[in-house]
Formats: sequence, C-alpha cells, structure tokens
Amino acid sequence: MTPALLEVKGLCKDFGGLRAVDAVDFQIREGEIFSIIGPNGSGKTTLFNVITGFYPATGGRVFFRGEDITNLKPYTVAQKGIARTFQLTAVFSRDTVFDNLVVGHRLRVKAALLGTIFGGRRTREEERACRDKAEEILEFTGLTRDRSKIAGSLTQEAQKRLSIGMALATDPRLLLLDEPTGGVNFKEISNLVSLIEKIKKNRVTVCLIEHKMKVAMELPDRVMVLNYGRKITEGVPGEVSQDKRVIEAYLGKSYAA
Amino acid sequence: MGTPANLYSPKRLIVLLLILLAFTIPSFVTSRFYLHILIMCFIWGMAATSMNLLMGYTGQVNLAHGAFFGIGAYAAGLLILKLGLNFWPALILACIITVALGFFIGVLALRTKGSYFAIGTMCFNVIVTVIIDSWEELTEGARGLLGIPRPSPIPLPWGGQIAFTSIPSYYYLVLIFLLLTLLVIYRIVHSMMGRSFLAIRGNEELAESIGIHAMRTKLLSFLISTGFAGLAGVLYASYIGFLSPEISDYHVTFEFLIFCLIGGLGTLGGPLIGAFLLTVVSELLHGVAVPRLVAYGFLLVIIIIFLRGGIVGGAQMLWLKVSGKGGR
Amino acid sequence: MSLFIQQVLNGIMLGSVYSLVALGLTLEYGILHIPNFTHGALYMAGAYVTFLLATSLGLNFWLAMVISMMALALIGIVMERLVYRPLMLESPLSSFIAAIGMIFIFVDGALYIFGPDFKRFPPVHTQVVQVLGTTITFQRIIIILVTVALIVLLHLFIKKTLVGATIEATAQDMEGARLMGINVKRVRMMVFALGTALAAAAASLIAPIHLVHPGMGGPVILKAFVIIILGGMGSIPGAIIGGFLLGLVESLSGGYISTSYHEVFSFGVLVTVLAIRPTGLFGGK
Repeated sequence: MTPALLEVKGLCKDFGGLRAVDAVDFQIREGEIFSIIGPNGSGKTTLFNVITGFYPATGGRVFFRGEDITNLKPYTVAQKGIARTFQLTAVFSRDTVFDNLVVGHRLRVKAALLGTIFGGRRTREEERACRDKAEEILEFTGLTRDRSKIAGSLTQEAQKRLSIGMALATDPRLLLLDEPTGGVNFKEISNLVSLIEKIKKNRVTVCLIEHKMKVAMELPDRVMVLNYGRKITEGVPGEVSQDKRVIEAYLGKSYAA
Repeated sequence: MGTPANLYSPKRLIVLLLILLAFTIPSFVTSRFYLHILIMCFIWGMAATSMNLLMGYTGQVNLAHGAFFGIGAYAAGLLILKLGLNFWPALILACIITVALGFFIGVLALRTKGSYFAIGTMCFNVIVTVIIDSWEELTEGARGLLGIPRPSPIPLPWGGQIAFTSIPSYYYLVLIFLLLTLLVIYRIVHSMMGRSFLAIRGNEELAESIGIHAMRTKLLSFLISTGFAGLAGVLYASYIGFLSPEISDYHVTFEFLIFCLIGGLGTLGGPLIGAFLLTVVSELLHGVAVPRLVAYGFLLVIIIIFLRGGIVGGAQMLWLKVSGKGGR
Repeated sequence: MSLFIQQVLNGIMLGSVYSLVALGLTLEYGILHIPNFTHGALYMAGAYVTFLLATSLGLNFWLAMVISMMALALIGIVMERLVYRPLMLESPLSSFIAAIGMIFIFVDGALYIFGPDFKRFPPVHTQVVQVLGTTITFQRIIIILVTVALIVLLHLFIKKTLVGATIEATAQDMEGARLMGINVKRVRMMVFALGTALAAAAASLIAPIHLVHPGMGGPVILKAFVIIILGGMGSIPGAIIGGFLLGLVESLSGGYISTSYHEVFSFGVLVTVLAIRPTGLFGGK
C-alpha cells in the first residue's frame, strides 16, 4: 500500500470563536483525482488555504510525500510541489498570457543576482527553461493562440485555464483547484474537464473543490464531503451520492429520510 | 513585461544615438552652467531610476529613498574627510554602508504593506534626517560638511592621469556611472529576477502561490534600489563638495517620486526623462515668479489624473494605438 | 512636581490638537479607504487663513477661526470632487501621488505667498491662570476646552442625526449604503468638509502658541498617521485616545529626555509597533 501523497491529520482552523475546519482527516493518493464538496461555508477553501500555508493551522498536521509541511509558507509549499488556483480567478492581469506562464516556472530556477547582471551561461539556460516551459503549457492548456493577449482581457474560462496553466508551470506533484469551473458557462465546462483529465494523464495528482455536482461526481476517483468544517464522509462518487448524511447536508432532513 | 527587444529595433537605435550624443556633448557645449545642469540631471536620474526599480517594478512605494541618497553622500564625505580615505575606496565603502543600513531598515519596513509601508518608510526618512542633523560630533549637523574633494586622479598605464577637477571630466564620470546604473537595472528588469519583481507588483498573494519568496524578493529589490541611491549620493557629495542634512530630507524623496511619476513608473527611461525635464525646467525658470514646487504639484496632479503612465507610458500607449496593436 | 503638572497639561493641550487632526484624518480614511496625505497641508492652510483674517482684517479670533473652518471645508469639498473622486477606482497609489502633488501646491504656495518665516499671531488670551500649582496661559486651557466641545459636537452629530448615520453607514459599507438609497457622493463631500474643518480648527487653536509657518503641517500629519495607525485607521475613539496619548508622550519625553530627539521618539514607536504588528495595533485593513 503506497503511502499517500498528501495526508491531512486532524486539521483544525479557528477564526476567533468560529471553527472553520474541524478535525479533518483524509488522504490523497498519487495519481488520482480527488474532489472536495460541501455546502457553502463548509470550510473547503479554508482547508486549501491552511494546507498551502496561507492560513496558519490551529491544530493538526499536513504531510506531503511523508514530510511534515504544516504551517510552511506558501512559497515553500509551492517549492515542495503543491500548486493551487484560487476561487476568485487570480492571474497577473496586466501582463500577457505568455509572461504569466513564464513567471510560473521561476521557482525552479535560481535567478542569482550576479548571473542576472553579468549574464552568465547558467542564467541564460534558466531563462530558456522557463520560456520552454511556458511554451509547453501554452500548448497543453490550448492557449497558444492567446499567447500575446493581456491576461485581463481573456474570457473567464480562458483565465481559468491560464491560472491552471500557471500552477502547472511550477511543476507540481499535486494540484489544488479551487472551483475551476466557477463562473464558467455550461458549454465551456467540458473544456476544463478534459484539461483536468489531461493533467491526470500527465501524472499530476489533482484535488478539486467543486460546486457543480456533475463535475464533482463524474470527474474524480474519490470524493470527500465537508459540512460545517467537519468531514461527513469520503469514498467513491457512487457511494457518496447515496449517503444519507450527504443528502441531508445539502437538502435537509426531509429529503434524506 | 519582457520579450527582449529586437537587436535592430528603432528603440535600440534611438538609445544608441542618445548615448553617443551624451558622450560628445562636452565637445560642443562649453558653458559650465549647462554642463552643470546635465551633471545634476544625471545624478538625479540615477537616483530616480533606482527608486523606480522598487516602486515601478516591484510595486512598493519607498518614501525613504532620499534618506539613502543622503546616507551615501554623508558616508562618502565622512570617510574621505574624517578617515582620510581616498575617493575610490570611499565610494565602494559608502555604497556598502548604504546597502547595510538598507538591509536593517528594509527588513523592518518590508513587514508592512501598501500605505503602511509608505508611511513607515517616510518615518524612517525623517528619523535619518533628524539623526544627521542632531549627531553633530559625527556629521557636523546643520553646519554641514564642507570641503569634500573631487575624486583623486586615476593614473594611466602609459603615463599621465585622468583628473576630475574640471567640470567636463566630472560630466564623463557621472555619465559613465549613470550608464552603468541603467545597464544593471535594464538587465535585472529583463530577467527572471525582474519577472519576480513584477509578479509581486501584480499580485503578491498569487506570486507566493507560485513559489516566489515575497519578503526575499522585495528585500532584494529594496537593497539594489538603495544601493544605487547611495551611489548617486556619493557622486553628488564629491561634485558639490558640501553636504547638509537637507539632502536626505523627505523633500528630496518627493522630488525623486515626481521624476518617476512624470516620466513614467515602471518604464526604464521614464524616471530619467522625468529627472531631465524637471531639472532643466527648474534651472531655467530659476528667477521666474512661479515657485517651482507649486508647478510640480499641479503637474503631478494633472498627470496622475489624466496621463496614467507618465510621459513614457503615455508615449507607449500612443505608439500602440498608432501601430494598430490597440491595447486595453 | 510643578514641572510634571506643566508637562502633563502641555501634553493634554498638544494631544487635543493631535486628536482633532487625527479625527479628521480617520474620518476621511473611513470613507476614502486611503489615507489623505494632504491633510497636513490643509491644516497649515487653515492656520494661514485664520492668521490672515485676524491680522489683515482685524477680525476677532473666534470669528476668524470659524470662517477658516468653513473656507477649508469648501476647499476640502473641491479637492474631493476634482481630485479624489476621479481617482476613486484607480489604485491607492494614484490618490497618494495626487495628494503629494497637492501638498506641494499648498505648502510651496504658502511659502511663496507668505515667505518662510514664522508668523507671529496676535495674542488672544494671554491671561495667566493657576492650575494645580502651576501657571498656565488661559489660551492653552481654551484649546483643551474647545477641542472637547468639538469632539462632543461631532459625536452628537454622528450618533444622533440622520446625516451622521448616513456617514457611519457609508464608512462601513459603501455599496450597501448606496443600495439603501444613500447619496454616497454627498456623504463623501460632507466627510471631507468635516475632516478639513477639524484640521483648520486644530491649526487655528495652536497657532497663537506655535506660530504659523509653511512647514507646520509636516510633523503634525506624520504624527496624525502614527496615531491612526496605532489607534486603528477609521476608528474615532482610536484617533481621540491616540491623539491625547501621543501628546502626553511627546510632552513628557520632551521635558524629561531631550527635545531634539523627541520627534524621533514617536516615529520610533510607530516603526516598532509596525514591525511587531504590521497592520497597526487594532488590526483591520
């Protein structure tokens, strides 16, 4: 039984008196697509924020590839191999698509001061590597035609693809997607879904927060359900969708009975 | 951002021509007054360009820049006058001292963001000026530091030497340092390091999520920026020969700010153009009734409301429109 | 002991002035969500207007001060309408830069018109009073009293009137206030008018003691920022308490430590606090 890629043990996050994440335990296995669902306010994004170091954990631990990464800063977490997107689509809106992707690979190079000023061979190679990566991602996310467009002028769906691309440019082992289909219309959802499936085929593990039931249930290998910050259940989509507690959480007791 | 310019692009050609022109100016401009203005333009241009690295490219409004200019100037002046150092080692040491102080101030100040950072650095500026003014045993306080000599002559391998006592010779000295500054900042801006700076400016949280170490990146930008401010200060000290606490004052900082804004934040040539324009205009208008800074003030407000990118930014937008690329 | 009492009273007087300035600043911040850096220059302008009215026109001091407050309120409204409003949607950096431009206009304009010398104010209340064993000019006590009166008036205005309620609502949530039918544009102008009037009042009150000169706004505005950062940007009680506290600290440290470094002291405190809690003592934005 291979050790989990990401293991979260008893994670808690309090904001003053409010317990947003309540002793959540789960594991993500390498190579799978794992989704986290739950009603609004159930703590899903907060969970992402704690795992990636944007919020300090109030309790519990996070292990990535066996290493304790609890409370490490976001840039260190990214260094270790976890990349993420944001619920509110975040790109560098004043820069071109290409430039957005190039900087995504920056964390994998040294970009030392002296090399930068005097332009040694290593610096040039580093820059070449980042640009090559950007080209690769352009192709992968289907943004080649848009490479010189200003990121802020793209459609919402293209911006989502760009933010995913930027995260991929960091060469992650685990990709956390926070509502990748948020604000995207029905026709364009399949674009994003196939992109995510392509990502899985490239052996990057994906964990996504989703609201759209179709995506949240059909795409992943396993699903976890949160409610009021607590995990109610976890398993394959088929089981979870039938689970009484899940139905109750979403639709209320009368429907669960 | 940074797709490198075409080797033979019109922009490069213009820059080359300007550099050539700059080198030949002393041969046909013999008036000491005009050369003096140009020297001051170069010195202010260096300071403004370095401020732009932190402000325009990394998005942090550092209101202590003038203080670092003053620290560089005083460090060099004191090392030469009180420790008897030669100009050249004093220059290097003064820059090191400026960067070292920049490190301490930066590490503290960069814990804050946005307006807090601006206010915090402004306070540091005031503190530095007050210290320079009050610590008379060290800095001579308000009496000022007098008699800072020009750089000692550099002996040439084939006999003879380069002396810096004449104005044209100092012109060349400052020009060379200015070009050096521009070159270094150019290279930084068009590198992966420069992209990190821009990422921080664009969206610091996003930058962190893609693995950019915000504090380290900002601090690096801060140190480079203040280092060159100090360098400009050293050149000022040796040229004018006299220092008083006012040169580290927040008024100086604001003048640098105006140069950057009018010329164009986030563009390489902008601050230099701003420095030139305003220095020349203010020198030429010296006796005129309209007080200089009032005019600056109006200019600033008008530019910020109507011409967002400063002169260079406005020109860039114009260029985009004219060449049909549109733009947002 | 009498030195101590004198320093304390002096501190409260200084604190009154600081609170008024900080109050105006914090009110403006609550609406603008950006610190109004021009506040110091407007403070200075208020002093000059009062000075002009009192000397050239020979007006009674209090009349001059009230007219000055109204004039500055007008200037504040114009500034909001012409400069801050167009920049409302831009990045805060733009407003900040515009503020700097306006500072240059006011300060160097004053320098040009009035010259750099410290202007003597015609003495107003020079009677000397004995308080708690020390002598103090009546002027200083008046400053404290007037400040308290203004603060109370302001409090009543905001809490008890409908207009005041609209200000509070807009400060809390501009969009929500707009949706409730509140004319946000008018509220902005009103708050600016209030803020600058308070600054003018503060400057006018202290002018007879500290004299009038073009740079007088500089140190005061920096201290006002120290106050609202420590007290919480947008917090009225924070501005008031912070103002009096800073006044006391400055007065006592100036009296007992050293006068040339006492300014450094308050900035040092600020820098230290920001280093520990980068979002100010009371957190928030």
